[in-house]
Amino acid sequence: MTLSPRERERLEALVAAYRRLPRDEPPAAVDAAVLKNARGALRTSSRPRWPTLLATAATMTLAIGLAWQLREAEDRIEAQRPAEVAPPPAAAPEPPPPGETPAPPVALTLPPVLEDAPADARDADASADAALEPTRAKAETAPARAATTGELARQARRDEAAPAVGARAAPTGKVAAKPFPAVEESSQASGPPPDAQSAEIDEAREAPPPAAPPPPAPQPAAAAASATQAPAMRDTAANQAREEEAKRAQDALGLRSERARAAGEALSPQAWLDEIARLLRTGQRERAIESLREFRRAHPQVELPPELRDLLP
Amino acid sequence: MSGDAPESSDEDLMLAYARGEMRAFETLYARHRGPLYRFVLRTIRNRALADELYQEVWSRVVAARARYRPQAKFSTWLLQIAHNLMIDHFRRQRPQAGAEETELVLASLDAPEHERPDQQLSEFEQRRRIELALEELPPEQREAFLLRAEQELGIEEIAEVAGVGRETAKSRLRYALAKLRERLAS
Repeated sequence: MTLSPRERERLEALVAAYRRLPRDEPPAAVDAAVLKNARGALRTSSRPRWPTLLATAATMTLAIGLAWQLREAEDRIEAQRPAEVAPPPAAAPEPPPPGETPAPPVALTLPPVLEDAPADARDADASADAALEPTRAKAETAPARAATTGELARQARRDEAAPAVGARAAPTGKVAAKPFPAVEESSQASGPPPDAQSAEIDEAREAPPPAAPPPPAPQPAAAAASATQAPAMRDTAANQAREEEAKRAQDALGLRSERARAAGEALSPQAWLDEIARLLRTGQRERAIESLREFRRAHPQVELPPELRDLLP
Repeated sequence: MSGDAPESSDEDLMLAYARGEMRAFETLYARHRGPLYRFVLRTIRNRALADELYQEVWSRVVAARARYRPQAKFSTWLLQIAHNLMIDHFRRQRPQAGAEETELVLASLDAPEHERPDQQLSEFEQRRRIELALEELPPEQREAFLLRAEQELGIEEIAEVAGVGRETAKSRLRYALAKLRERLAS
């Protein structure tokens, strides 16, 4: 201090007088409030640590889990794409192995036709599917059907490779997809229409004796003799028959009749006759006659209905 | 109030509190609660307001614990906080006035009638005269005297707390001394 000694003396006297004044102290409530605030500040500063860390860890875990799930979902989508795309490749033309009868060649024109008339085709498919059970039993006893064992097996492999093309799942298009590869094989052989193929596939899986495909006129004869002929000879005849079938099957109605006829081959006698009658009603007289001839060869003991009796000489 | 080891300085206690030691704060508070309260009370001259400002001073100390640096003396830092709060209070009372004008107006305020020094005084009343004389001082002079009388601060420290130069602090203390002597002698 730079006060003079006199000033300092006077100041000290005043300070002494001041200090004799009541010594006011803060009230107890004020003390408590100050200490409470000081204590609370320490709790606040230390509190957010672990909750913050916990929240951060939980958020990161959630984010990682979601990202992982999204990645798995994307992988599943990617894996399904090849399967979804499979039908066309599976239906792509595939030369029939030697000794096997190829699928019918009519399939290439199927999509637009089937799309335009899905209801009718589905009806045909449904009837074909419904007759599979009794048909299988018949197939075991039909020697002509033995010739198509290889074809059925090949169709079975196609179906397994393209599950999305399952005939039962989408009757018209899926069934139609099966024969697609056969179209490009038309130069080589014909094969059973999709409905017959689906039936044949089931038969191939369940009973070695195959269901005979709907062969043209020459083919039934070949099929009839197939029981005593070598498998190669039977296949050759079947291939030739299918070639003719492929040509006729370019027409949309002709295609349905082929499938119907093929379905009739695998159907019970009555169902076959019904199919023949349908062909007749729809104006496919020639096909009805051919199918009827085959029916007669396959079921000579079955009495024909009146409307069909006159078709054959 | 509980006390800490006497050899712990105010600065060490404040740093310890900043680290989370509540007992350090309790010790620090016990040391400074009285002088600080009286300093605020006699400067503000209103008990309710003094209680409020006093609490606010300690709230600011708690809030600023992480920023406290031991280079600054704790008591000086504490008193500076109190000083600023009281100046803010005076300015709020007269927002258009500057600091000096505020102090002049406050200095011209008459003391309450029952506190006038012309009454016959007992010893109690004599002490009361000192209080009244203090209350009649301009705030800055009163503050300077109280920092000397209550906190035992030197002129340098008074200047530091008040945020003024050394000479200004000395002038304020001299003027406070002169007016008190004159008031008590009358």
